[in-house]
Amino acid sequence: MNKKSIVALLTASLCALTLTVTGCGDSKDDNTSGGGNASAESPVTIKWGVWGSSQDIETFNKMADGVNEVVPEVKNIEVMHYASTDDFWSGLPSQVAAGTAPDMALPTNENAYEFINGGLFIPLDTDAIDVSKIDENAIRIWTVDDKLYGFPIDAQPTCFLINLDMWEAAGLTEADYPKTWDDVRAAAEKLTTDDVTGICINMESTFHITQVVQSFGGGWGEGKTIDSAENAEGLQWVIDMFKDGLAVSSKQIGDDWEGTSFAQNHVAMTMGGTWFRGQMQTAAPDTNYIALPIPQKDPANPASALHSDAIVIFKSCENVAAASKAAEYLAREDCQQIRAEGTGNIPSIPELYEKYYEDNPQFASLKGTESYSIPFGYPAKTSQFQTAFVNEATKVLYDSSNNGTAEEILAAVAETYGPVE
Amino acid sequence: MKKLNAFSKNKYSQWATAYLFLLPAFVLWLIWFCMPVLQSFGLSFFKYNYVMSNDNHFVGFENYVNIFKDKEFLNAFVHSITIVVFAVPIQTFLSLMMALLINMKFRGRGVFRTIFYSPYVISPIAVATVFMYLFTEDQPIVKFFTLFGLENTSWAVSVRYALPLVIMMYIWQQCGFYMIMFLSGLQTISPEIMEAAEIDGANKIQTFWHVTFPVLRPTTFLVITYGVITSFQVFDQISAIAGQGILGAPGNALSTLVTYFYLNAFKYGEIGYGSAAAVILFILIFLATLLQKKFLDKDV
Repeated sequence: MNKKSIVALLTASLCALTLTVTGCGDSKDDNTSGGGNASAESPVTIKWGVWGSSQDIETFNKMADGVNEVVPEVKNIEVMHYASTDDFWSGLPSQVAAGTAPDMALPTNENAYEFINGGLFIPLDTDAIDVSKIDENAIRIWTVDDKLYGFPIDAQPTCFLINLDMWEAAGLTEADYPKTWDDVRAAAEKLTTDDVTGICINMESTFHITQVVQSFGGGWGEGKTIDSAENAEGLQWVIDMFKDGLAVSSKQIGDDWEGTSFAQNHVAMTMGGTWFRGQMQTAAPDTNYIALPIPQKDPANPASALHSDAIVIFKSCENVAAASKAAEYLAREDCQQIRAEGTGNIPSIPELYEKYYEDNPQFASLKGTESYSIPFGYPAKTSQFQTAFVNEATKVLYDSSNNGTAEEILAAVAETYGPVE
Repeated sequence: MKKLNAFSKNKYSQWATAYLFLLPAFVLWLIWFCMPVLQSFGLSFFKYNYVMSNDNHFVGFENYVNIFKDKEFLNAFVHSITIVVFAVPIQTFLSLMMALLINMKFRGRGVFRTIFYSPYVISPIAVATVFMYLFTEDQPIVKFFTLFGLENTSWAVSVRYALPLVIMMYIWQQCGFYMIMFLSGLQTISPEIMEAAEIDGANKIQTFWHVTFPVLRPTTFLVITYGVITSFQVFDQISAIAGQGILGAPGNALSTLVTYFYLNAFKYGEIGYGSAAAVILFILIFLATLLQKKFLDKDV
């Protein structure tokens, strides 16, 4: 190889390296909110991180359309699609480091407290945005220390789902719809057969158990009441249902989640939310089902969680004012209507409730339940608490030789995630 | 003298050419491997949480001390070692047997080669999904295992059987790859040597033990080394079993060093603590490889 060739090769290598390194860099448009060059005169692009099905994404894109006509400081809202919630939160650290994190996201309130407490979401300026039309219960669950951290775009009471075809086949009637957990057990005894289990209680997450303990008068109390007597009573009820063969987790019967178990007639009852509408439309369009309020230990003092998606703004957002306006735009009445029709979410604007329940009669029984809905109440270290709880609970539930009690499970979890000294 | 100078110049030119060709790969290796490793090593001495980022600070060896105090780390360590101890010998033995079979001349061996290799090219997620279904309560395979005293239960959610299920699906998937490695080793054995062994009166077992196996030693070393490294890193199958649920559940039965690292770094946002766990995992794999080199690589 002569000198000329060596020089040529060296030059080519350096060019390739330069391209690679610059290619890895941030190629942000100067007009994105993260670019740092946005001025009041030049409208910015707001990046909105979301996850969901293709139908969800289509709906989000429709909601984001036309923002510039209403909010001149926002050029457009760029919908950034993530495969799942986990995918989003796991990828966020590297995106923050690379300066490519979105300005806003659409998390549910279920796991939000961890990020609010950690300062990842910033409080919204309620003087600059109008939240007066939003359901006060949704506002309440997104408010921490008198500061609003999310602009709720839906307000969905959790619900108890019944397969009506199985219900009737078991000789049960509308009068038997469960109001208490004793009613649920009695119905499960009638509904359980060789091929069907009475109720699916998903113990691979804390969503279902939270409904149970809250309706027993308990709750996690941000970690302060993990091992309360009410929680123990609720959890023990679940353990007994499993040990007696009346309850099952979707994975035990080879299903990926309770929606599949319910749609495929493997179980007759379960708990969930309006996301079952889409599941049933696609997986079991001919199945008759109904969504009822979560049964209670004491129906006179009801409680269950309110599930609400809200637009939050990250602390890394460089144009908070524009992002706030974009959030307000996405939460407007038209957008919520689009979402209610597209994905079946219950709007957070009370004036839209009537039409929603007319269009979705299977959820009509939930009307009014938002009034007694409460936050999930997980401890600040939400993910760690959930992991610890699921592992402790499944040790007992999925091992026939383990006779552990609810008190023991909760005591083990409370030891680590109980009140902070 | 002139001739010697020309030789040196030529040799220098060859070296320069070789290094120039290596340069792009080397630079990319520095950027994509060395820098993250060093950064991770550096972060392991910090309390660094991307969620609670107001409280990030230098903590020295505190993360390492806390990891070794954590019962969950010990549990994850035991599970990782269990996977290595069971998976490596079994997959090495099975893949060698498969390679010996495929190396024989018989009709349809191409079909067997494809059948044996195909699990390796299937997505681990898909494999896990199918295995989870096959090992659900009342399925024929589960009922078959009840003949040996095992419970009729869904293995993926069983605190006792979830880890054996992962080991089983991992071995099933990896054997095809190691079979190909053994097969390439077998094909380097000259037919003359085999014929000579036969003429000398060696039977099949003697031929394997005294001729084939010694020749395959470098391949066996490679298979075991690579097997240990990848067995320590089993993740996809466990992740598939978890689905949208909790990684490592049920009852921490599937908690391994990799899930421990992943949960801490990415799920809990404890990047510093997770980095310390990753460094420990790196050191463990490095030590395991060194030990193997010391004890297995003697005559290779």
